[in-house]
Amino acid sequence: MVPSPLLIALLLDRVPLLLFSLPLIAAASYVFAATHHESPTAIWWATVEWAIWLVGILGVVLLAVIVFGRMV
Amino acid sequence: MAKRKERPAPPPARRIVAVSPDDGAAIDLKQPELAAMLAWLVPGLGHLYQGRTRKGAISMGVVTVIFLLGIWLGSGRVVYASWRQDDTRWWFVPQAGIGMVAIPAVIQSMAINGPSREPFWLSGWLAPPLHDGQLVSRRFAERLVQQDSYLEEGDFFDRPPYRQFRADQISMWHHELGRFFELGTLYTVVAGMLNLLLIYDAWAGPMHPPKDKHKKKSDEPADEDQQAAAESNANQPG
Repeated sequence: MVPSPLLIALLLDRVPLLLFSLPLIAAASYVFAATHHESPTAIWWATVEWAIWLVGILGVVLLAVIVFGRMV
Repeated sequence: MAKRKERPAPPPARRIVAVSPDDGAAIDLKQPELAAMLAWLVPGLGHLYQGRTRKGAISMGVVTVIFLLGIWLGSGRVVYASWRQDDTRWWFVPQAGIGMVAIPAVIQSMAINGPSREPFWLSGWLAPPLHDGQLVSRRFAERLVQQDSYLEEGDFFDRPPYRQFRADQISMWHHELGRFFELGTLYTVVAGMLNLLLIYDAWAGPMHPPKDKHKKKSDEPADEDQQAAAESNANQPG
């Protein structure tokens, strides 16, 4: 299924937002992981896990903002 | 010969230890209050003091990079302390999670609003923006006109021995930086808030998962074994 041009345009419009949010997500993921673990290996895997969680949560929030923004 | 009085043994040295949730190893927190203070002053320094070198170095790098990115995006204007009615800088509260900028920013704010009417560091670094009608020293006014391209001599009235600013510097900053003022603020705020978590980690060690979760997991196999043993006993003849 090919995404519609509108969806592509909406996503591309968010590229700056994605670009500027990635360092913050990476830093937050590391700090959340580091405050729950001590060994480097555990911190690394927990960082990846936290990053997935944060991207998912913030992605859902962004989707909700886009959807509600188009409804108004 | 009189027996020499023995001195009472000194109390054992206070040793605060946390437990690593990964391998159960002890983490010597040394003096947690000092570690927390160092962690507030410089991100990661508390961990380095405790000998948690790798964690401290990476934490220092991560938080410092995010903070410096924020300063760069905001052209050095996004961190300042101001409690005026028309410019209450609430964002300074989370930014103050990093002491090495919180202290100079407070000093700059107190100096510019004090009798000298100029910031301690004359470059205006971490100083709050000038507002309409604010009195500043001649020296500072001349310095501002020299270093800021959007300021002119005409932006200051002569009010001996001071000069009176006749514009609104925060509006000028917003106009100059656009969305980067907010982005820089966001980055520095996030860095300050993340450092609060690191301060806690330096003070108390890693946060542990709830004990009940572990107890449940370790109890389940034992319960299953007991059940299997009971069933095999029941199935045996006689």
